Amino acid sequence: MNSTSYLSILIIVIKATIEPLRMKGIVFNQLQEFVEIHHGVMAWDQAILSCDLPSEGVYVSTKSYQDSELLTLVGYFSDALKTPAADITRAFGDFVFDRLLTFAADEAKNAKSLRDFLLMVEDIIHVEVSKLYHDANLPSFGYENNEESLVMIYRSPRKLCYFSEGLIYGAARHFNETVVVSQSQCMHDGADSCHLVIEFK
Amino acid sequence: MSSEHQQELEAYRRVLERERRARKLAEEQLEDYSREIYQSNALLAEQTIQTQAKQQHLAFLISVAEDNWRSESVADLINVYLQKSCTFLTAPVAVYFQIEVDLSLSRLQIAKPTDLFDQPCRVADKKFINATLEHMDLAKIRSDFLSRDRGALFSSMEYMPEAKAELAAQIYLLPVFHSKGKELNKLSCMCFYYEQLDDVDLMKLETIEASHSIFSVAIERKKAESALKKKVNELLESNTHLQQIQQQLIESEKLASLGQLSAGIAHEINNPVGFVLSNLSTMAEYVEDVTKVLTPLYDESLGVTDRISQWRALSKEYEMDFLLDDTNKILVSSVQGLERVKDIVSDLGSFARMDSDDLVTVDVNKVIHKALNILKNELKYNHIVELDLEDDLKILGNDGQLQQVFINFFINAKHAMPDGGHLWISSKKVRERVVVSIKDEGHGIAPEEVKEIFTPFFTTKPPGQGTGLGLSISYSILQRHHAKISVDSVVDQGTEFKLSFIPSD
Repeated sequence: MNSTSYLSILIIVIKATIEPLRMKGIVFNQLQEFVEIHHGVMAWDQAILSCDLPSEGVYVSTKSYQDSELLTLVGYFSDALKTPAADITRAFGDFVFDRLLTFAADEAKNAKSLRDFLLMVEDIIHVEVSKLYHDANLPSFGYENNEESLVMIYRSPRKLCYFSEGLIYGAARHFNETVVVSQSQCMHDGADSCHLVIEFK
Repeated sequence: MSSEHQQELEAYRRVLERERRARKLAEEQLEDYSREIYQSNALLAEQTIQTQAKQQHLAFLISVAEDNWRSESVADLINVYLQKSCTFLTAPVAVYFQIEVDLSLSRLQIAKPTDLFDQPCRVADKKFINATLEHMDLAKIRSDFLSRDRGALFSSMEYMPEAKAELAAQIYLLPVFHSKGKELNKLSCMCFYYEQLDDVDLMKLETIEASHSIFSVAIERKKAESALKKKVNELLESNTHLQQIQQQLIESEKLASLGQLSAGIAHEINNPVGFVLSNLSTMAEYVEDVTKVLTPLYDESLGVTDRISQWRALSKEYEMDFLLDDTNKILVSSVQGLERVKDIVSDLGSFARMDSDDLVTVDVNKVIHKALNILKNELKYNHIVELDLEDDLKILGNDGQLQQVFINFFINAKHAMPDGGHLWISSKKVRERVVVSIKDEGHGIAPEEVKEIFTPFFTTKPPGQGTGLGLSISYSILQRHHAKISVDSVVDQGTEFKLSFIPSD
């Protein structure tokens, strides 16, 4: 790696530290759809009215919005529905999987099993997403591939491990497989990464 | 409408409003995108044009470099370059000239583009060019451009002391090179004439700038090349001359050795001639005696018995038996003596003949014998010649020249043994060569002198005995025979020369 590459990496790191994390509008569009299906248009409208959002609830899929808007919305629904935020995030992840799958490379879409698919996330899917949204802030995954289970080691300043859990459930549904996802350690408990343990049934 | 419905309607309106704003934003973004795409397309198109131009420039540079190698002469090189560059520039004409030390113009060359329309162009006319060059201040041009590496664009009027509007043209002048050294004030340059400023393509002129250093290097190389050619021709000429001189030297050395040998050869001829003469006078006396003895046989006055008895008495008196026997001997020895004279004269003839130096098949042993024949008188008193010659040794050679070589080696051997000694001469086939060895038991050659012996004018003999050319000429003759020479010499013991020839078959 030459000095220019190091420099550009340094700039990205500095930018990430100073600038708030941003999320693509498509996530908010999906959340809106999710809320409207399960709780109606009024529930969504109420949420937008209640939360003080810089975007005023106007989301364009290709634009970026601050992460905090999503957290605010999730927090609001958690209060309104009296449901833990983790459960909402997980359910949303499950819901959004099919929509996100369209971005995945053909190779990932044609994966033989859930395990194969999950193993492709880091190297194939994220690369494809980066091509589409070059400014997307993607998490990184490490793997521990065991016979009975697969451990995905999640690292992201967003700490959206529950969202990842939901995505894994969504993927399992897509592949007609049954899994149980749990976390042996979590960044929300002070760990440096979340270990998502996927047990195949 | 119930308030619930009212609320729902309000919610939908707000949702719709947000959707509209989102769509508007999306449309704006789309517009931004299309603008970006348009701009990058425009940029791409521009870059494509630039790339094409660069390609053109590159193609020009490459073709110039190629032509530089192909051109036959300097004038040809200049002409091709002028033509290529004004075609490339789409300039109407390109001119090359040299401003000499005395401000005169030389080497004027004019070229027009190869593929340009045949429209008559004012500035491309030869008369026009000559007129501008005549009216422009060449001294000023020279001093302005002498120290410059780059060209410059100017109006012809700028350099005219008396402005002539009819001679106005835009000229791009490029100094090709200035002569260094004593002709410091000489400037070669190349000009492109343009009708007007708008016709000038500055970017393409940059390419010409870039190419002109290749061009000036090519000219210098070409000049050096023709100078080299001239030198080579001179060398070839002097080489031919040298060969002729060498041939003459061989002949004169031959004559010189003939001169030195002439006394001996004369003696060698005189000897048999002398004894043949004395033989003949003896024979005259014998004939007289025999006539006397035979006289009674023809006397008609005597009877047959008397004739015979008188003849018998006279035969006894004049020792007729001895006379007849000796006559026989005298005749045989005379014939032998004359044969020797004949041989010497014929060998001398083949030695002295100024024949061509073609190599033909010769019998090396015969040549050795002929050489020894001429030297017979030189070697017969104190020297013993030992011959060991293998039969039938044919080599490619020149009879007369080889004789000269052998005579030279044999004489040298004799001079090395002033008090006499053995001279061993052998010839034999060794592998693919015919080797002649000439060995003496003379004073030998000092090791430090061995490398000098084939050098012209090197001699250890006292003045008058040798020209110092003998061995050097022998060496050059042997080289023409593609023969190898080796010397093996020990001081006070003797010297052996080995000559190895190519067999003729």
